[in-house]
Amino acid sequence: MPKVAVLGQRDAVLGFKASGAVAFPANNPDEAQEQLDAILQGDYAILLVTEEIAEVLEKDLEPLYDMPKPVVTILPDARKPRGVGMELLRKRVERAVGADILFKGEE
Amino acid sequence: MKIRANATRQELSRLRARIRMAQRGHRLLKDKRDQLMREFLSIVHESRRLRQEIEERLGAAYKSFSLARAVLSPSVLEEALMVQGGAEEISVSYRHIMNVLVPEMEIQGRGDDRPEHDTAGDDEKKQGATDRGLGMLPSYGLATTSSDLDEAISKFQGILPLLVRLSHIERTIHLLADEIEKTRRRVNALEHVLIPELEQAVKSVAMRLEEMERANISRLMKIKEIVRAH
Repeated sequence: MPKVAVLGQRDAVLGFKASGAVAFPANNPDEAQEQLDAILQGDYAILLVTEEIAEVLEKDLEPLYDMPKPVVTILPDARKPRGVGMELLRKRVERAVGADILFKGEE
Repeated sequence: MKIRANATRQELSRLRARIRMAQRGHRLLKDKRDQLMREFLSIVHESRRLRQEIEERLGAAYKSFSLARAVLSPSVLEEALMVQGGAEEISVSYRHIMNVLVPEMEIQGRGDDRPEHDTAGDDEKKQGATDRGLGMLPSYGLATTSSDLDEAISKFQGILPLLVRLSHIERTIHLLADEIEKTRRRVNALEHVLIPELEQAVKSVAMRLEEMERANISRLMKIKEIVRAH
């Protein structure tokens, strides 16, 4: 059975590790790259990535969005959420609808 | 690109058939696009709500986690969390929305059927998740750790199912967005390119045919005149 992988800074993934996800701690871009390769080797249905790592690995994560597995989901950051995940959602809406209907009239 | 057609009646009726076909396709694709859009919008709003909830709860979870970290010594914490507490297993199934294959995921690994006291080596199976009493049985010793850690972990546990749900919803959004874009392009291509071109071609063929008709009539009249003069 596939599992859930978490990729992020050490302190961000520890909590998930105890709650039933497989943790892949990475403290710098090179480590993150290695861990991503390791994750892609294994059987994971979901890959949770912290915002910080998602920004570093943006190019590597891009092709994954069109693959059946793993499904990449961006976690908000522990310290200061930057809304990377929301931004991604907004982009998709804009592409599909041709206009930004999601955040229209706000902010 | 202009459509070239011979000025014959056969060609004319063939062009008209193509227009009818294109219009039917256009109508169908438009319906498909509208339906996809409806699905898309409801799911987008759901995803947005879910993401906001997760962000809030995750913030709280991180907060109690750092509280626990502050209270416990790093080595104790390390020790407590070293053991992989068993991983949740995810079942993936698929569903069709307007001919788009979208995944649906669910956590499988929870429930009472797991042995509560397992050997540590068997950590694949050892989820120890029991829904009764305090919830999940922790995979670390209670003696050396504080209750802050339990609280933080249980918060993380509450978030995981939401994240699984968010994951498949976001994937669905991605797939639907692709499909909507494709469908929209097709609708537009039919509406603004193919159908006008076909109509233009029909018009020009019809005009040429009429012109030939008129030429023929005037020729006949001329011949009639010549014949009568004799």
